[in-house]
Formats: sequence, C-alpha cells, structure tokens
Amino acid sequence: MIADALVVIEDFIEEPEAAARSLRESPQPLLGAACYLLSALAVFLSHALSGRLYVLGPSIASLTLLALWHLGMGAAMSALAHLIAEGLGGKGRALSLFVLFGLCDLAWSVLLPLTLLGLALLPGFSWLAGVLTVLIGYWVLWLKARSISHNYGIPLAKAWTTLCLPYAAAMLGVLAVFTMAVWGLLRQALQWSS
Amino acid sequence: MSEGELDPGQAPFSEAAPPPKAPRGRKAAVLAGLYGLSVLAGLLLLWRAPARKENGSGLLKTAGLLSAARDKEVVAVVTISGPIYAAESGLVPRGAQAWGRRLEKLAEKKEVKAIVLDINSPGGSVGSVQELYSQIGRLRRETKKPVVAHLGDVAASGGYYLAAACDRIVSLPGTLLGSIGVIFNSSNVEGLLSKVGVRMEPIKSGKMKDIGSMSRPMTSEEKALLQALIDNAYGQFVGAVAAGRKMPEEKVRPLADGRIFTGDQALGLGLVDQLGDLQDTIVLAAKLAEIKGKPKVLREGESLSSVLELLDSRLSWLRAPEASLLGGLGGFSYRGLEYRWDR
Repeated sequence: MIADALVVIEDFIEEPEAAARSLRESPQPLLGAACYLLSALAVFLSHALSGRLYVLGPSIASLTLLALWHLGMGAAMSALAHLIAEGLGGKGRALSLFVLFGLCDLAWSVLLPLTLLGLALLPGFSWLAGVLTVLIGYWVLWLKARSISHNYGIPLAKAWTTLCLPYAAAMLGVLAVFTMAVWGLLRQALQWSS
Repeated sequence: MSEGELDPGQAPFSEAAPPPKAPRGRKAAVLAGLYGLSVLAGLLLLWRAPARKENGSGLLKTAGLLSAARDKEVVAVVTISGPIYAAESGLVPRGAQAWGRRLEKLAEKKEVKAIVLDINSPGGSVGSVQELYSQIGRLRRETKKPVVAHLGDVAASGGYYLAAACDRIVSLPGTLLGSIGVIFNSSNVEGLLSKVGVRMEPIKSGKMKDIGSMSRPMTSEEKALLQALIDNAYGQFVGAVAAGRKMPEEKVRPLADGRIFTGDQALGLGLVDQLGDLQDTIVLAAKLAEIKGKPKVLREGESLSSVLELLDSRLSWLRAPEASLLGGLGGFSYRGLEYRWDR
C-alpha cells in the first residue's frame, strides 16, 4: 500500500497528467488524507521552530487543530472547486481532486528543511520564514490550479478561475460581515448618542 | 558480415531493450525519507530547546512547552488576573471555576512539583474567593506540592485572601496588597427613578426579602442585619489570614481595617515572606519542592484560553450591552458580599 502511494507521489511529480488520469480512475482518499496530515505536521514544526505559532503555541492541541484545518479545508476546497469546474464545463471527479489537492499540499513539507537550514545558517531567520511561507503558498496554489486543469481537462486559465473564486467569495464574505459589524456598531453608537 | 549477424562488439538487443529503469516509487521513497529526517530533526530541536529563554530566538521562546513536557520536574505557573467572580455564562469557561480547574489539572500532573500563583487582582465575590482558597488548601494537603504566591501590581482583599492560602508569599516592593475586609455595595437610585416616572412596587413574602433594593433607602434594621453578615465574613477573612500566615488573630486584626500596604511595608508586618519578582518566586517554589538546578517552567494552555477569554468578554458586550453600560453606573454591578478593594 505504501509502495503504491509512493508510485502515485512520484507520478504526480514527474508525470502529473498521467497521475491525475490514474487517480480519476481509482482515487485513493486515504492517501489524500495522509498527505494533508503530513503537510500540516511540516507546517506546524517549521512554524514552531521559527517562533511563528503566535496564538496557540507549540502544543499537541495546536497540531491537532492545524491538521484538522488542513484536512477540512482540503475537503471543502475540493468540493467547491469541483462545483465551479463542472460549472465551467469541465468533467472530473471530486474525490480524485481531493487526493490531488492533498498531493499539492505535500509541497508544504519543503518548508521544514528550509526552516531548519535557515535556523542553522541565518540568525534572525523568523522574517525569512514568513517569506518562505508565502512563496511556498503560491507554489501550492499553482500546483492546485494545474491539478484542476488535469482533473477536469480545462485550460489553465479556467483552472485558476476555479481555484480563485472560492477565495474571492470568502474574502467578499468576510468583507460583508465586517461591513455589517461596523455598520451595526455605528448605528448603536448613533442610537446611544441621540 | 551478412545482414542479421551481430557485430562481435555490439551488445545483443541493444536497440530493442530500453536501459534498465529504477523501480517506480524509489525517488518518492527518497523524498519521503528526507521528509522523515527533517521531521525527526525538527522534533529533536523542539524537544531539546531550553525552556523559556526570554532573550533567545523564536525557536527557544516557543519551544518551552514541549521541552517542559519532557522534563521530569517543573514548576507550573497559574496566572490569576482581574476580579475574582464565578464564571458568567459565556462561550468559554472563565473566572474562578476556570482557574480552579487549571490548578487541579496542573496539580494532577506528575512532572509538576510546585505551583506558583501569579496574582494580580483586587479581589472579588466572597464565594468565589473562598472556593479557590479552599481548593488551594486541599491541593497542598493532598498532593504535598508547595504553592507559592507571587503578587503583581495589586493583590488586595480577595487577591490577598488567596495568597494567604499558599505556603509562601513573594511580593514586589511596590505591590499594593492588604485591604483585608468585606464590602457590600448598595446604591439608592430612588431619586433618579422618580425623575423618569418609575416607581418600584415589590410584593414580598417578608420585610427583608428585598434587602439592598436600590429603589428605596435602607432601613436601620436592614443595615444592622447586613452589618452582622459583613462582620461574620470579616471574621472568616481574618481567620483565614491568621491560619495561612500562622499569626495570632489579635495580630492580624489591627492590620485588617481595610487599609492597603506596599509590599515593602507588608514584609515588615509579616504579611509577605520576601520581596522579589516572578523569577525569584519560581526559584523559591523549586527550592521548596527540592528541584535541583535551574527550574523549568510550565505555563499550560494560557495563550489559547486568554485569547478566547478576551474574545468572550468582547462578545459579552454584544450579548447584553445594557448590563455592561449600566454596570458602569455602579448600581447594577455585582450584588453581594465582596472581598474586594473598592476604589
């Protein structure tokens, strides 16, 4: 089983299109879930080492929350992207996209050795860890866009649209909630003052 | 050489057979191995990082919890900050119960050999303060683990009551402490209510049922009854301080007229054992617990719970804005006996 998983990972790196095709035929959700958890572990350790776990601190609870976040976001994003990609004319399976997104998330594991190197070679590495996180984040996004394109047989531009729409919707939602909260507070303040 | 015959130097099937390929998955296995190594290295670094080095890098600052968890003998620090009241209904447990639970949890841990209470509080309700006092006493009796109080800016009234339950008290020279006494806050807003045309007409089963009502002046009989309650609770406070500090009550009473002291003054009066900061307190707690070497410190679950508490306190304003706003007027705040320094 592990050998099969390693073959899928290698295919994903070397022949992503073939890997997407094979996963479409037989998706491996357990492999996907494992990828999300491994990537969460790498992110947790690199952030703990560079002192970037500001809110929760380095504890088993924060690791669990991060792992659940990766897994939950993976499932939610796969579902949303599936709906959008099908809406844009693509044809593919949501389950295989979930696994592909998990494989994309594995790119986060690069952050850990880079953080270790940074800590060993560069004093005051903390800011660089932030830059690395952003860069790897973009890389993961690019991998996800490519995976959508392969999984649904749509051009890369459409894949990017598919990927960005949920983020844009989430941002709009947050903005709307924030605006309503500010408006509510202002109204309350006006009522109190009058 | 006829067609089809092999050149002696030519390897058979050199064109037909592709060069031997590495077994599939080998590269991924190497990558997985590298990943595993870096995870191990990361864990090892976190594990071996010294706990709570204040001026170190981010690694050293944040690795405290993991390394403390590994250590066999640690001093746990529990912060009791702000007024001490029973938890109001909210999103997360707060107040006296939450502190009590945190204390209990830490006391149960094998590696925790001593507990430091970092107190910065003007006191609170009698019930909540006594609940925590009794819990600290039980913890000391049952676990035999030393509990040392460190007093921050203020440890007045109920804040000091809690400190009295500890084995030792360490204070900063300028800490405001003392205020040994009881208070019952009562307001009379009859005039204000009549101005806006409101008249309260309570229907009661007995004449004392609405004692402390703010819609009418207090009768002398009610005042006497409340004074008796306060005297009784005051006696309990003096008794607790006398027992905790191992001082005769006659020596405590002259200091217990509600006055406050600085840490420096309190040292001379026997209300604290020594002057020092939190680090000194930790060292003292470690000494009492016979921990050898530099003590390791465990601060459990504070970052998350304090963030949630802050969020909850902000949300409580949204849940009941009238209560919070009117609370500022004084008459709508906590009603009952308080061990609290009332400024």
